[in-house]
Amino acid sequence: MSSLRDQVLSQYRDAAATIATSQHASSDSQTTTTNTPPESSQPTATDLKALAMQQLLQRQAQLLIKLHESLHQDTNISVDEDLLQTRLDDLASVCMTAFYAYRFDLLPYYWRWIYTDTLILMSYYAILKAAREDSFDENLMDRVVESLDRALIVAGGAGKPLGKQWIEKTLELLNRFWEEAEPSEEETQRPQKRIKRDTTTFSTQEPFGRPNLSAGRTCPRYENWTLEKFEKYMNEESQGKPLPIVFTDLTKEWPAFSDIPWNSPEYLLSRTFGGRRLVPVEIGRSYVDGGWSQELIQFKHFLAKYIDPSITISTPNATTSIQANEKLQPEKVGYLAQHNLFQQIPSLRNDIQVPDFCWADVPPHPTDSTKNQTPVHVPQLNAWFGPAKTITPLHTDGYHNLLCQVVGTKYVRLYSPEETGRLRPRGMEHGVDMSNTSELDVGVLEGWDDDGGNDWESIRAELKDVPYWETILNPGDTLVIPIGWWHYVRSLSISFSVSFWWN
Amino acid sequence: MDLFATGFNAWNQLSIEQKILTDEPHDLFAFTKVLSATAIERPVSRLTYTIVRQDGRLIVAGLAPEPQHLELLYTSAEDASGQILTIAQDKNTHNSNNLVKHSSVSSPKPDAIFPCTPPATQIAAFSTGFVILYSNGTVSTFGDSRFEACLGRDIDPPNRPSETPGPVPDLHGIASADDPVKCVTAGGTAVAALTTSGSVYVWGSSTTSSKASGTSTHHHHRRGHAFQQLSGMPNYTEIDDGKDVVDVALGESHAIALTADGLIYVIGENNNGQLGIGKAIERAVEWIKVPFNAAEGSKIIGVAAGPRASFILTAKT
Repeated sequence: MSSLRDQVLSQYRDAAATIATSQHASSDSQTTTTNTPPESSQPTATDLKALAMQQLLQRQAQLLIKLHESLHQDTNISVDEDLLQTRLDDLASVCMTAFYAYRFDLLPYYWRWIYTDTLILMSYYAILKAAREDSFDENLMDRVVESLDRALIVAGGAGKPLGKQWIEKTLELLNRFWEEAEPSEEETQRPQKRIKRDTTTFSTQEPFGRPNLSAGRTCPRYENWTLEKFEKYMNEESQGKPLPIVFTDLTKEWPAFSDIPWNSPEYLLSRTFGGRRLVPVEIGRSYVDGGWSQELIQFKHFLAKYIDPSITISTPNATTSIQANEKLQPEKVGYLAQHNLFQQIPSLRNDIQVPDFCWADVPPHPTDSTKNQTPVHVPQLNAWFGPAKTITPLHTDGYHNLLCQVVGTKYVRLYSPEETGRLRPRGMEHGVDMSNTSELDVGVLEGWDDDGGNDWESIRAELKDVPYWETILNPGDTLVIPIGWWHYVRSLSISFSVSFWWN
Repeated sequence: MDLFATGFNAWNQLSIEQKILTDEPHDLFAFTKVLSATAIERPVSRLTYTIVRQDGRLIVAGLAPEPQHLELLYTSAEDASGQILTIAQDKNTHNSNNLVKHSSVSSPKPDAIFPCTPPATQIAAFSTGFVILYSNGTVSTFGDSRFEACLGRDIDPPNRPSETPGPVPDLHGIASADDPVKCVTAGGTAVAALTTSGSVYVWGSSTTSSKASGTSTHHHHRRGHAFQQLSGMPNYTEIDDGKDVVDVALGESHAIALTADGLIYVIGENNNGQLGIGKAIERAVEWIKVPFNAAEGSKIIGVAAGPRASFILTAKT
């Protein structure tokens, strides 16, 4: 018997024992915005429903421990497994109802915690069943990784002492266990599981061409700046109203460019549990379009379906194989956008470094102090990975932004905060403040994309004398987007960028 | 009178008269008699408990709230975030009363009071808000503006804000003075009104419904809707070729109706047995008849729903 297998089982057993005594609902109704659990307080029965769910969850944890014990004994321990599965599903669906019922920033922390623990128990049950039948296979691994990733992405891996840390540790253990178990089990199928393609890096093609940059509007490019020089630029020299500029040497040391290249699909797959890890993908042209949606899919499916259909991943299970290799362009645009991939998959975090400039003192919003966010202690990282022609519509961020281009090329158009009045900010839409997004579609105005039948001519005339800046980012380039600057981002090729927000 | 129940029972919340309770109870998948008494009033069923007035006193089953809150919970509507709405009568006049909202059952002070002229006669809660019926048969809604379709009306702050009761205009076109609304009910993201002549109109939000994409994994673990097509406009829902309806109740993702010919119909999710039609059918996309017959000499007088449970009340004829 593999010792890694035993480690996995005992890791889960301990987790269930923890869940069986966790006081989720005791903490007062603190909300979701912090990522640390609220300080424990006197048990209050403010939310009867949450207390009830905690009780139900504890009961299921105890049943799973009972089931685990029966693995080693011949005694016929009676656990109604159908009921156990129903109750775990009930728990997950009640949490989901809460997720939708509260605005995200008002959701009490314990609902995310209960959801995380429910998913941990669901994956525990799957592992126990596999252990009992001695059938650890692809499907099981897919299911377990899916459950744990849902807890990380949907619920932020809430909970203590389990939560994020426990899930990361368990995924790492499962990965090691699976790497060890896999070859012996499926030696014959091993060759098929390789990625079949001619080259080992993503295509650098720009299938839709690239815009002509107008002289005099192109962001200046610099290198060899010290932190002091950068601070001076952002503050005194610009009188607190810095312009967007590009640095060409901020990310030179990143491993992501050299020994462990992010332009290699195989490398990225190896860092994502064989492409099993889930990622949130935006489907559709732009988040302001109708028909736009989000889905959580396996990283390998994201690669094969949306990034490069020439990547074929065949698995022993025919239903999960991708059959898109005849098509050259993906059918729909899928964009892994604004996702903290590095928190979810810490091993990728080591391939990049936070640029020193993110620690610079920087000015507040130049025109609207209400847009200033509470200071962040550490820069906020986000990954942006997609095919050619992903579009982020004209919008502003609540922070200063360093946008680092790692793979491929991106076009960025920028307008000053002073022009906000002429850029048609949106209003409230379905109860959500959309004032940080413009009604203008730069791609349509420039004639790169089909129009939606609107009267774009008059808007073009209106915008004619509104000054803008633009740039095309190549791998290794870093764009400084000062707070409040409107920006429209359009990928020209397969593109992977990392943004750092700070204030 | 007899009370029959089916559905979610994880805390024995349907075991109203039972003395011996199991630790890990099963759900009920068929309508089961749970209470007999001289007088039973319509039960109020929430996710973890059931309250019912039996011969004038309140009894409760399941994981119950504190006893001092029972009366309030029995007479109020509660949304998914625990906000409580009650009707407070005015001692001095019958021409008006007040709606009182508390942020939770244990918060001592109301966080909003809405005067009602004509008086409010009935209230119900959906996930993110409330629906109110007035004595003149008109209907208002208020709640979270993110789910505008549940309100059945346009929001236009500050003139027509989502957080204060505002009329559902399309309903007033449908249910005229000759056929006023006699009952409102709500659950999940759906809201319904029943007119005196027996027509049920349903509206609500389905933007996150599973129909958007069968593979859309983002809505994973989320239960579906009772009604396939929901929008901000009240729509007639036809039961068995247009039978007249005398009582209707909505759960979180299912609904139950009593038709004028004394039959029971259900629609929606059945994960926890809330449709009372056994385990074979996971969900009913159309209204289907429940094989339920009242005992000899009795007839069905009403229906009720919890988020994941259904109830039938029968009385001697």
